[in-house]
Amino acid sequence: MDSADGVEILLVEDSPDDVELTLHAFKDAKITNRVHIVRDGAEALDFLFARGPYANRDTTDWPKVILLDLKLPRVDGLEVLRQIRADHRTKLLPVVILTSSREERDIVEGYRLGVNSFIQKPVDFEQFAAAIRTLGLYWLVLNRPPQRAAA
Amino acid sequence: MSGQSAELDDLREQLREARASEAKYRSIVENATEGIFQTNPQGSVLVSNPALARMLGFTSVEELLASELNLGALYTDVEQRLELQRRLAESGTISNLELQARGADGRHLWISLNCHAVMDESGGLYGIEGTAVDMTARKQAQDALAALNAELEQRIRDRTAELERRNADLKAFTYSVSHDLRAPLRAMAGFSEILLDEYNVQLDEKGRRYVERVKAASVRMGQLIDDVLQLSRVSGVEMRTQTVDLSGIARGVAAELTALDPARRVDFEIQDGIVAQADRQLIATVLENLLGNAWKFTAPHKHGRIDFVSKPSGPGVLECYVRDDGVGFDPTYKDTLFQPFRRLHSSEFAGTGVGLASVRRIVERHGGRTWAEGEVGKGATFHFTLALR
Repeated sequence: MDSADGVEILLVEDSPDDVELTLHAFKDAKITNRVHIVRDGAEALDFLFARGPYANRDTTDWPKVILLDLKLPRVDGLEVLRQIRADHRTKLLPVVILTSSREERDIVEGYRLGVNSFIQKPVDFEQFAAAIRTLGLYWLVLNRPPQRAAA
Repeated sequence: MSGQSAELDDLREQLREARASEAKYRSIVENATEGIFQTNPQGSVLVSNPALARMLGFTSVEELLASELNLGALYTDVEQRLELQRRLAESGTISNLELQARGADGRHLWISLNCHAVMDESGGLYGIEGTAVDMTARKQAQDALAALNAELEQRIRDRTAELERRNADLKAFTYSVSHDLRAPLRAMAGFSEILLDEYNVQLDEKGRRYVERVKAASVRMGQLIDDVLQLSRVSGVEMRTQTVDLSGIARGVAAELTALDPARRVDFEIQDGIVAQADRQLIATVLENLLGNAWKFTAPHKHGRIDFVSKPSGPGVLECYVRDDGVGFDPTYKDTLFQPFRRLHSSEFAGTGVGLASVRRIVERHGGRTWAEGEVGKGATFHFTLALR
């Protein structure tokens, strides 16, 4: 697994197929930023808050964007989002929900909890790749994060 | 002498009339179905008719009188007895006072009482007289009705709870379908795409065709899943009824269809000001489906025409229809058209057979009807009704 430092994209995804397809879509879109993959919500929170296996992570260094699946083992995606928004260190991090769900209540709840955008993973790979391309362009290139004081 | 005799005759005549009159009233009293009574000032019954004796569980009037029954003793509830005395003292009359009593035979009964105080010349209480009606049967019927109502309400509560539980199950199920069934399809479609893109040279013509078919099948199954979910959504989503401008929605749908395929030549004739009471989002789904179908099935024609028109149809009801001059359909199947996943046309026209089923469910949820007319090669018309207000 990649080193926990210098991570630009945190991909929270439990399906190996979806991980592979997402990485492939990054490659197609010429997104070469460092990706770190966590397999469930609990690991995502450990990573972000430098706990457990990530206790030594440099917490002055935050990903530029978090791609979050909703249906995750252990802690689900909406709970991860809730905790990210509840902590002053992470509450401004861009979070994009990337999920199969088309459930209206997930979308509503996601926005209520302060997600930055919500992308439904289409079955068609070309559409998926297009969504990833747009997402990468916006969050990694165009978006200017607020200057953050090191904790 | 003759004067005295005439006086005597008069008296006799009066006595005869009085007897006749008494006999007449006695007959009325004896045969009345209401209980009729007179009491002394203390409430002991002095006069009763047979109906009262029967009502109170005595075998005869004589038995009732012999028992020295006191009116006040009838009431099983002391409060009711006090109420009776209070009202008599206050106004001298009581009307339709319902009392629970116990008969001589121990039977409980409900009596409706009408009586008044009778005064003597000096203004003292001489007695009480009045009538009593047995309300027991009516009370029992009322109680039975109340019990039946309570039972019905309980059943409705049980059914509602059951329905809510099933609805929750169904929601959990569709949520799972929405999320879990789509994921493997995405893998199939995605990796097929990558195979075609990056391993194109390693595959021969036949190999590429097979991969294409895997990809197309997975995309199609994704569409099917979406449609199943749409069908369950239109059945389950909560309705918010408001005044909706159907003409405006139809124009929007027509503009979208035209924008997606600008090469097609189709004239839309959309009537102005079609307004109904409906859920905006659901009715938009109806129009998207009907106009989308019309668009699809006019495709083989060089120049198509699609109308959206309304006409009044009975009080408070609006009938609308979407008519096209497309390929039409065999009228034998005009009813199966609306069943989910039934398709009349082969893969020549895209679709999964859920659109019209959704239309019917939405219109039925609005209390309306749907029906179709058509002939092969002569276009199709799809009607639906909605409430005007």
